[in-house]
Amino acid sequence: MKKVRVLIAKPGLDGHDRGAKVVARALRDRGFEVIYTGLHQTPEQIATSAVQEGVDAVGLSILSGSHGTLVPRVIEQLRALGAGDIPVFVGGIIPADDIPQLREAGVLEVFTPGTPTSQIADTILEAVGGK
Amino acid sequence: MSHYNPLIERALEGNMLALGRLARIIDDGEDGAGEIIRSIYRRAGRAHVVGITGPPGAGKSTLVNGLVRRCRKEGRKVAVLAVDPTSPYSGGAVLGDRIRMQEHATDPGVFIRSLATRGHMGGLSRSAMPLTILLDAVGHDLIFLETVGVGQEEVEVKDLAHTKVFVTVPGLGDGIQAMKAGVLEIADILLVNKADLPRADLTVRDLETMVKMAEGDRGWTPPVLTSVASEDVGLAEVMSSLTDHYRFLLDSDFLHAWSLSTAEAAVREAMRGAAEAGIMDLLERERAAFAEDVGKVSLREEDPITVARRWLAKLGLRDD
Repeated sequence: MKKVRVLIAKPGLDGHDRGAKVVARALRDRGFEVIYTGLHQTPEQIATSAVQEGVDAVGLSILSGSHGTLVPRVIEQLRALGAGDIPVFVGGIIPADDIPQLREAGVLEVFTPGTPTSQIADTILEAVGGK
Repeated sequence: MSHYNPLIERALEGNMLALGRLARIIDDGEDGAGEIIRSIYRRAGRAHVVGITGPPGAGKSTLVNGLVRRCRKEGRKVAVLAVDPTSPYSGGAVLGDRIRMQEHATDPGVFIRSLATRGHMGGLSRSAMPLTILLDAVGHDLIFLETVGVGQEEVEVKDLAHTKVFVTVPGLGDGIQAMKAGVLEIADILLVNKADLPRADLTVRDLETMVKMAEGDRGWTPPVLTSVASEDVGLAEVMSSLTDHYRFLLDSDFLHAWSLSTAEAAVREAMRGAAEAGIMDLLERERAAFAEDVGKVSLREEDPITVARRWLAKLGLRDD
């Protein structure tokens, strides 16, 4: 079976990446190759990393409340590089009211606290399976 | 001519997306991988390939990051292949070498690719060789190959890199460790990183003793250098040693010998890959017959050597 490659990135200024690491580890245990880029990434860094790494999907972890600006910028940057077909997922503390807006910006799925990691893996697998 | 040509052309023009996607096809060993290499091989052979190896936590990624920064100041185009281990249980991996290199993420003159070993032994991934050819062919001046954290025997990088840097840290072993065969032996440059730690001088002395005791005509005496890569200390010396070693190769017969052994490794690897694919296809096609033979081996009605020979004969391969 083809390996699934995923970039897990933390855009913006929040300095807490336990959630991102838990998800990275869980995806690894499902057989994914997870590229983790660390804290404080700009949307430009995330998009170019995704393209250079040839990933099937991008997962953004945001706890700072700045998802409304950062997430659309990551998607814009991916499109600018010709990689608008790479599905983008968001995880973190996202108020329910903001989710429709993120979906409209092109986010495939939003995972809020308490989502089982197996569900995250299943959702990503389903999204990239048809590629 | 293959249908990968448009992608290859765009990659040659410097398109990052095209290069990233070609690299994926090669890393996954898809059917097109061979066609891509056939199309670009003649363009490769101009990059200086530098292997960075050493134990886990020695600071390989941080070192590569600092060296890339210096290359960029000189205007050279750089690529990095950074390898991390695949989990033997799940087949998955967390690839974290990029964390230390993200200052270069948006620099169009730097291409960084993380690789998982995918079960391959030797310190690199099976795709490291064809990917080096790809990155060379599209015009990178320097390619850094960062191995997984190695123990003593992961020496595959010698087939791919012109210049091998062995990075270690103070306190890992005494003079006897330094005398053992393996990764230390293939190094062209020995680097004691984190040299601000206590007893760095002892590590340097052990390595210097090892270098002095080494015999054989390599025409090059590996320098023992020190650095604190996270503080950018000592990296100018590493950079100039890299250049010195490459110049030494260019000016001597050693480059010719190195090119031959690298070419041989590439042909052998391609043959091994094709033979393995042939075996897999055959076993897939004749799965029932193969399962029957395996059953006989498990009941000890037949031995595995005889059965293997019979199957290899179907491919025209013999081992007797």
